Amino acid sequence: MADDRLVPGLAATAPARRALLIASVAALPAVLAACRGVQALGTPPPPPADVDTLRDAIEHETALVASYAAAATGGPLAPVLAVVLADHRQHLAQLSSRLIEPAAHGSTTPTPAAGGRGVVMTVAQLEQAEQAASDRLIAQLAGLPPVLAQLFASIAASEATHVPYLRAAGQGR
Amino acid sequence: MTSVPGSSPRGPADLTGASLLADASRAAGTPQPVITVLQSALAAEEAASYGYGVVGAQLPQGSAEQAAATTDWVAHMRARDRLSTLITARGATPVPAAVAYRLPLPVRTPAAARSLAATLEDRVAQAYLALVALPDRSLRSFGAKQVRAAALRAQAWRGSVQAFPGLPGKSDALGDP
Repeated sequence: MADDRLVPGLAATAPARRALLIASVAALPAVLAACRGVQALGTPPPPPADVDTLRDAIEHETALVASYAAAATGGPLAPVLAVVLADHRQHLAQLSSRLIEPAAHGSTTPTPAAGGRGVVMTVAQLEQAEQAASDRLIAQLAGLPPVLAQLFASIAASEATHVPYLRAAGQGR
Repeated sequence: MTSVPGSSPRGPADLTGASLLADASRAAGTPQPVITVLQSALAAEEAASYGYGVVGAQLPQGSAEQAAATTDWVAHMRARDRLSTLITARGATPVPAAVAYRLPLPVRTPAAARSLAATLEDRVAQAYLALVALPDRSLRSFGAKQVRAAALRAQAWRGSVQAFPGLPGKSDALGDP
């Protein structure tokens, strides 16, 4: 899904947000260096809290993608798991698009293509993971920029709907 | 006739009321005053309350689906009351519901009724997502939980899932009877 489809009128603000994230993570060491000399580069300041929150959400989403990718390889529920996996891949793509980090740090940022091997979960465990993910996202809303908060809330809603969707599929088999 | 929720009271002679499709589509996105956002959510809840009356009438009498429609209608009535309280607490007057609403699709079959229910929930989710953009922590949390509740109801009626409930452009496929 394209950024500009998220919220009308916000496309123009997204680059500004990204610029802020870039500035917060990448530019501050340079600013410190200018103020206090090269030695100050040794301990860059921590990133803003919302950057950490976004990174956390990306990491959890990456783990969910990996879990579904591992679970959706076969069996009668594979088509259902594939549908949910597709949702999670969209979630991860949207979340990842909100965070641009400098190359030196980028290697630690999960991407949709670098999901890795997930832990194989039962359907019941997947349901629990979905509910936990939904609750966690809602609990993280405070302090986020409005657009990111809306994305978190929407993803939280989507992940909550996966619970009855999985349950119904499981009962129908 | 299409009226804009939150801008003026709706008279009893307004037989079409607010467009269900127009009400919530403007809710998410640009920053709006708290009262405007709350009034938009209220309008969506009022429309949903009306719409579920239509939904219930088209579902088999005494069926589990009709019972579910009643349960969901009650949820919307409670949410409407909560929003009215929030608006009143901020010194504003809740905009009353229209007498009737123009439906986004003809509803003459149970399948159409299910589609309408899912559409109503999509619009409610959109309206509540605007609350999530507000800085107030309690309203933001309330809005997010209401988006989730609406998405769960929509999923139950539709039988499928959406990647981004409440975000514009995600309910266009609805309305197939």
